[in-house]
Amino acid sequence: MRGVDLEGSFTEYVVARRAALVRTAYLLCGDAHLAEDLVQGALIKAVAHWRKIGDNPEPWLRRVMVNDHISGWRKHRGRERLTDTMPERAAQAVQELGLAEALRLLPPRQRAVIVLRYYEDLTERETAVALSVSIGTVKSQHADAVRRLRELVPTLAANQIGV
Amino acid sequence: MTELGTALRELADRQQPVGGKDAADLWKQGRRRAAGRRAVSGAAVVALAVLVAGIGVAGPEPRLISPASEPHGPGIPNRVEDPPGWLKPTAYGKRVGPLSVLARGMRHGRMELFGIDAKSGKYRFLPNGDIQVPGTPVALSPNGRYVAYWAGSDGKTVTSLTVFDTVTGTESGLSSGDENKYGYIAGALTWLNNKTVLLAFDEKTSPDDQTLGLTHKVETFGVDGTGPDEASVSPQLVAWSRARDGSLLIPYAASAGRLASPPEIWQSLGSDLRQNGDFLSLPQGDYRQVSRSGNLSVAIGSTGAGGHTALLARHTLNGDPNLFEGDLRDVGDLYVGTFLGWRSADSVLVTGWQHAPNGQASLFEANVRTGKVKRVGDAGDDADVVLAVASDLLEKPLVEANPPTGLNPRIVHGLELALLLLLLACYRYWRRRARR
Repeated sequence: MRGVDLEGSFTEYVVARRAALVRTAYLLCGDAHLAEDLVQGALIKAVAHWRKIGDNPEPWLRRVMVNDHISGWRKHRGRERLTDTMPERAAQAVQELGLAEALRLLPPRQRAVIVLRYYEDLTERETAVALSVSIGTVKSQHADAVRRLRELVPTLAANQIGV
Repeated sequence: MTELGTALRELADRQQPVGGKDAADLWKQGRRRAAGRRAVSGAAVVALAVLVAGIGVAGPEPRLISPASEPHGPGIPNRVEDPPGWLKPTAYGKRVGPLSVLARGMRHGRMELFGIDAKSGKYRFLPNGDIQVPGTPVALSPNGRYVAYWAGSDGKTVTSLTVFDTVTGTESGLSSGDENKYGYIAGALTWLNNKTVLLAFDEKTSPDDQTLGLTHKVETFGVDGTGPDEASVSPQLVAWSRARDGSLLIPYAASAGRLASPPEIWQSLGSDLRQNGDFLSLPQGDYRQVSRSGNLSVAIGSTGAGGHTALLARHTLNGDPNLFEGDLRDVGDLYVGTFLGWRSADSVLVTGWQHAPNGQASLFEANVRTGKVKRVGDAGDDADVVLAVASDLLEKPLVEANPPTGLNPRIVHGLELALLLLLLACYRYWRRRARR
């Protein structure tokens, strides 16, 4: 592909898939602005590799978003973060938590496993590739995440989670 | 799709788009980022290559002397280092000149000659310049192009004179017409001009003979290969040269190819030098030079039993180096290593120490008329590291020399570049963090 074609293909892809990427990113990080930043950062990084990944950029972008989110979480772990929810909510009983809050309380890798497995409908192998971990790790992270979600959101029955 | 999947989809669909840059902006930003990364990667590769290249022996040694500044041109450096600590192993140069300084230093356990290029400041050991017979004289032509030194073979006996052309890198061995199978005892060695070298020597009468004053030969050789010729030289030019073994060539050697009697060549060490003028009554004095104006004379010699090698001055009368007025004066309480020459009608350049022979030797400019001494530079670990300077440069200002870094400049440049990249990376990281 030549330069102009590359840019055209990139533009076309961004127009078509940006909203979907932002939704995935939102589930990963739980914040709309952060989700937009994650997607933009991944797309900017993708430009340099577009010649290689242009045919099917989704897995590459997904991996970058997940890795960037986990890196960002590591960097800002322990810091105060601004959210659009009131702090008092954290003190509320776990039974009253919604799915969004429950997801937010999961560690980022477990959250990524849940999002990729249940939202993106990826197989364990595809999830392992997206997270750059082994299938065994995906399985264990998935089990831990589901157990935690059940604790946090009892209304989600075991059959609803699908395990 | 499971119920959780549906719940997640509903959750994702509820979030409101916040807007962002359009695709064209993202593409431009991505291109800029890619270009920046390529530039940083390229610089890192260059820095690494420079470092790797610098570590090898292909890199040049530290450049010690700043480039000669106009309008003065090349000059004598104000700092001479002992090079083995930092000079690369292959620092032997065929074309190294003309030289500003000729010096000696230990190399692979042997004493060897090295020179400092007058223009570039590079240090180079001379090929085959090992001083096999320590203490034998060496001489640098006034323009710094030719180095003459006695060569030997067994560490005891000199057998021929070698003249090395520092510009072309060629050397030639000059032998006396009637070569002596036992070798020679080296005497005075001096350049009469930029083309002719004069040497005085004695022929050994046996392999162990170390006696001076038996054959007394004085010969001249031309750098064009002519010679040996009978010495037909101006007394002014040869009168004040000395050999390190103490023999002294006095004025009346003119036209003497083969000197007939002892008065022409003196043995100073342990001898009474009361012949031909009271200046020579200086006990153990072994060196003297008269200024170009003829009004001043200096001697380098011991002032008496237990005395150090001092710089002594005296007025001459009527330009006759053997007629004096007044007493010898000690100039500046100097411990002199090497007398390098006259810088003006009144001042001389010497290496040594002042007051006490402690620490590194210095370069001193001494005004022998006023007795004032000024330290003008460093002369290496010992006072006699510097053997000679190009006398044509003596009257020019000294050239400022940089201290040796001990590091190859390519390594230094590589480290500088790496540091710059690190600072750039820190800056970018800081900005990105601040933006968040």
